[in-house]
Amino acid sequence: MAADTPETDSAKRLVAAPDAMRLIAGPDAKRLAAEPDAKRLVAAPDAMRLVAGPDAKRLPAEPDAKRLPAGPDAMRLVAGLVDRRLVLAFGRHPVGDGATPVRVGADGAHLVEADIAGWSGPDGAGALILLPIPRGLRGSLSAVAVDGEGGPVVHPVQPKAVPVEAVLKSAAAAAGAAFPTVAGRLASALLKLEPFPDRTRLAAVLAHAAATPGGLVEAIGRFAAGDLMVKGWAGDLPGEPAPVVVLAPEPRRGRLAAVRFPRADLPEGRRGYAGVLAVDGPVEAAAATAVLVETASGWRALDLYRDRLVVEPDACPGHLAAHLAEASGPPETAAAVRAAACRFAGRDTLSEVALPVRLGVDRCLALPGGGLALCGWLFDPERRVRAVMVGGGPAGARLDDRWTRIARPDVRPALRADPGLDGRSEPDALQGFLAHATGLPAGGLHISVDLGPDGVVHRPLDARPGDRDALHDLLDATFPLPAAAAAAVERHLLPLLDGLEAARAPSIAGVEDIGFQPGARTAVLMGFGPDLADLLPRLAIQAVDPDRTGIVVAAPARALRAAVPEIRRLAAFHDLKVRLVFCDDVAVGLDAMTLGAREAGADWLALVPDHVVPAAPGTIRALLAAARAAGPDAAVAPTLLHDDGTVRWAGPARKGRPAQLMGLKGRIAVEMLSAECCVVPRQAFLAAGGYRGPLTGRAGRGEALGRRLAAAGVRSFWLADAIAIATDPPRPAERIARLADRLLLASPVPTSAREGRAA
Amino acid sequence: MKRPPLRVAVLAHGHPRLSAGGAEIASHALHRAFTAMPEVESLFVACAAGPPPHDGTALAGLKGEPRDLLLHAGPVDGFTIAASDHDALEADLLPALADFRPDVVHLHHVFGFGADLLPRLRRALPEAVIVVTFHEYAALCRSDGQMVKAGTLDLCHQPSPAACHGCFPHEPAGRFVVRERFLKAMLGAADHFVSPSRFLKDRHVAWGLDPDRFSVLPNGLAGADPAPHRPEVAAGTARPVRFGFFGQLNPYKGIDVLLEAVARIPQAHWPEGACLLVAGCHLEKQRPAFQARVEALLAAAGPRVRLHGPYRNEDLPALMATVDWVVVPSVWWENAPVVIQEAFLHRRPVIGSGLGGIAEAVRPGVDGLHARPGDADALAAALRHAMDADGLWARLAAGIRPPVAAEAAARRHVDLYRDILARKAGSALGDDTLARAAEG
Repeated sequence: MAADTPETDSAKRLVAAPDAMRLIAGPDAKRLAAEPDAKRLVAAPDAMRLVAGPDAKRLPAEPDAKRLPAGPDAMRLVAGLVDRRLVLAFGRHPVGDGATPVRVGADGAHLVEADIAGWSGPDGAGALILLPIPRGLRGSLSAVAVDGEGGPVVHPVQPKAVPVEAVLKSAAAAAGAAFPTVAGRLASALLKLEPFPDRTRLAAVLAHAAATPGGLVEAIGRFAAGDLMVKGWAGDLPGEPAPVVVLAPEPRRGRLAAVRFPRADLPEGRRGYAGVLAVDGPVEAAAATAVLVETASGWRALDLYRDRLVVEPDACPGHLAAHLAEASGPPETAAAVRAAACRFAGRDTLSEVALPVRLGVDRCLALPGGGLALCGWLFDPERRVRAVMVGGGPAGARLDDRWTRIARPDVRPALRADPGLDGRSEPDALQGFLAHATGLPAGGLHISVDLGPDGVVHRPLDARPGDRDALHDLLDATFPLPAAAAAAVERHLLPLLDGLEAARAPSIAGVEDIGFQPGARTAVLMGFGPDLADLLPRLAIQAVDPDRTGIVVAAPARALRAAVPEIRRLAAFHDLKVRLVFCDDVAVGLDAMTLGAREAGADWLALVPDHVVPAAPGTIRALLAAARAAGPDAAVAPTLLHDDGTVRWAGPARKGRPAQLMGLKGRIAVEMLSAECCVVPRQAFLAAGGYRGPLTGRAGRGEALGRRLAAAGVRSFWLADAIAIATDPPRPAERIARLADRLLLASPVPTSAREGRAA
Repeated sequence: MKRPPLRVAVLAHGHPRLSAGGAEIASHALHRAFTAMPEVESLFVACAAGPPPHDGTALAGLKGEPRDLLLHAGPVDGFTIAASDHDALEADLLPALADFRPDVVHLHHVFGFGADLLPRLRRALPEAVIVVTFHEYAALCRSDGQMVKAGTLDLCHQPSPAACHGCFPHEPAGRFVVRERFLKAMLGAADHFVSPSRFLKDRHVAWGLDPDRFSVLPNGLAGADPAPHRPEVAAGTARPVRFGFFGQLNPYKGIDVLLEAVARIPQAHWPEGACLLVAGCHLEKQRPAFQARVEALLAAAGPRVRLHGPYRNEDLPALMATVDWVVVPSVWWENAPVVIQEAFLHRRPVIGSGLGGIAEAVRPGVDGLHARPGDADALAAALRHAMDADGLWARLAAGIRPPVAAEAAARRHVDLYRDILARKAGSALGDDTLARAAEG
């Protein structure tokens, strides 16, 4: 057992800690000098002058004072920039002590609170100052005015900034034996400021210089959540959670909550400790070199024992739990350690709970983008459960504050034979739940049940990878009643759709031309999902159009590549000019078209997705002609009918009614069109983000794009006598998708926030 | 001045020597009649199954048929009736047609070649008239072109994507939309359509084809001497109690309905000597359940039914000579059944289902009787009426009009071709031919 640490002089520590010093010297200093504030600091030598000591002139109290007056050079402060908002300054004269209001800026108008650590010794007095740079500071940091008994005392600042390392070295040399105290005080002050990395690095250097040996870390591990488990021995440690700095390649600040327990192998005054260390960023447990703890009597260094044990994440809770019985500490500390000891350790502890609490998860879907949807049941007749959470890695979310409870009449009968429940029952059948969470990793998921004083129990979640359709299926199966389904869609589905949409990364895997001539004014853009069964007949339909416009076919790469030989034959047979756009990560034709438009190489696109077919040869030609006649900022849509002859979109005509198109011919201006099938300027289509968006239904996506086009200033026209037929594929979850689309389309901001962004 | 011969390429989905279907027989009869006409030069190209017999070409000949070609074009897509292999069309058929330089390309069906041949033909032979004869409802109906509901065989009165999806649940309705639009687009490349029956024409017009591009021309029937009536029946000394069924033994032809009707006639009403002759084939190709049903009905009918089995066309007169009536109990719409023409050629009144092409061809009370399709009781009643009603047979037999002979049918076709050619030439003259002439 290593119960000893080398005696270290604090000033020597500073000099002897090259790693730590590198954190703030050299390149960092250069980088900081490149910041705008730093430039001002360097570029204004006159303004950096300060007055100090008895000759320091006081700031005039009159409001017409324009500049802080200059002072003698001997009283200057030497300043280095910690980051763009914080200066570390050093003066060889008394400046003050503690948190002190000071004025800075060309006219002394900015009042900020500086942290000053002063000393007075045989070699004279001095001070090390942390000086925040106020936002809106005009001009340069030329001087610092400190309020004194007789009024503000102005200290000039040396014109040229120096590296923070140089400031520290100068201060260490000047302060001598007082430096550790000075460094410790500034480290503590730094940890109270906003946690920027450069400040943490400086705090690490200062705390390291200030710390005295206080013990060892014998075991360290990183919880799945990212914080650290530490265990070892120490002399005095704060009982309450205390600020710490973890020395590592990238030092971190944090708080240590550690309980203490006796150990027979330790001499008097030393005891074992076990705690959880919350840090402000990732730390590799194996890379940490010391934990510096701020105590009431200064900083203590818990160095990492040479033969320390690096604990796996799943074992961390167990290491803490092993000491809970004999450990002591204040309530807050003990609670924090106990909670950490109860964390998920990779195994099912829920099934071991002795309380009458049962939980089951029937289906759990892990969605691209970090979404999670799960349904199950919770039986809790004595209301022991305080919270139900889901977690994975560092992420977690509470479920019971957002879930929807569902009647599950099957749960009570199924649990009747459970001896642990002893016949307990709940008054109703609302044991079921549907819940969702976002921002979770794909693996390592678990559900946690907080039982209050009885701890937290967990169960690993077996989440199946899912997609939008699987999500619809889940909701469809869970909510057979339309009214409940609508509420569930709004509460659970819509938040998940955003994550799904954001997670998609469609891209173009390649382009192949079959006689296609780029640069034509017009092109027919056809989009397909992975099912290309209708590709060939659709192409053949285009062949009878006398206009014979070039055709761009966008489809999932894998399926399209397999069809290339057939497409080549067909194109040769019918003399078609075709460009194939191979797409990755697209599921439906509309998504493929959104990508394919980039490669369409034409001014005008006739959009013909795989669920729309022109009713007669010449329809596309008529639409193109109408669009060209309408002008470069116009889009023209045909009458779109369902296959049963009812209206899908026909200008202001009501949907779902039999088509009444008598007497309507030619181009009719409309407020907005359905872009499900239309002729549109390619750039407008691209700028509107194509068909992207969280909507599921093809009709909804077409309408949403029509809205975006209109909002972007594209004039909308309806060519009433051009007819196209649209169909939707029958899908079991169509009901849920339709509900979601209806809600999304009813959203007041469908054109920008939720739907579509420039492809 | 003598006109140059009209060059007609007749394209059929099969050759009657390889597959004796009605369309094959009708199209080849037309070609035969053309070859007998000095003002017509005819080429017959039929699709043939299986791989091409010769290296380097999908074309093959047929012994004894010097103006016939077989094209091994590969299967068509069963859903869209599109060609699945265009190489045989591009590399063999189109050059052969280009060499023949047809004034008319007349397709019977688009099966075999694929519907997408039509626009390609239009591009390859822009001056030629393209005519398509429909022999059933394949463009309208995925269910073998029969327009009956898959499974139940209920009649389909109005095809629609939703209804077709009902018959083929594994195919989304959207695919039927594409199928319809594809076929209409392809057929749009034809100049004219021919239907052997008005009923079939009306169905296609209702489906959306242009009525002005439709003609109803009956299939011609190769001439033959009528088979004599049974002498005792003709003399009125015996009742006409012998019925004949000629055709394929499949569910669409209603053989099971007929057998059940025969079985339902009480023995007291089944006269001595009454008999049903079943001359048909392909029962072994049907689904096992149907085979079992027919075999059970045959067993139940006992000596009332005489099963002849398959027959060759030249055997037909002799078979006809043994029956007094021909029964056509089909449960699908039919078009212009050859069996009715053959019955009328041999002067046998027809008892047929009162629907579609049968109802159009058989005039109840004039040359035959109608029975409710698929209704064994109604058919049994019709059979009893045929056997019992005094003078009915003689009256109906006397009312029969002989079918159109192949030569006459061919003549009508040639008249139609010339009419379309003239109209086409007229429109061409209206466009730029006159202008060129003026410039010349």
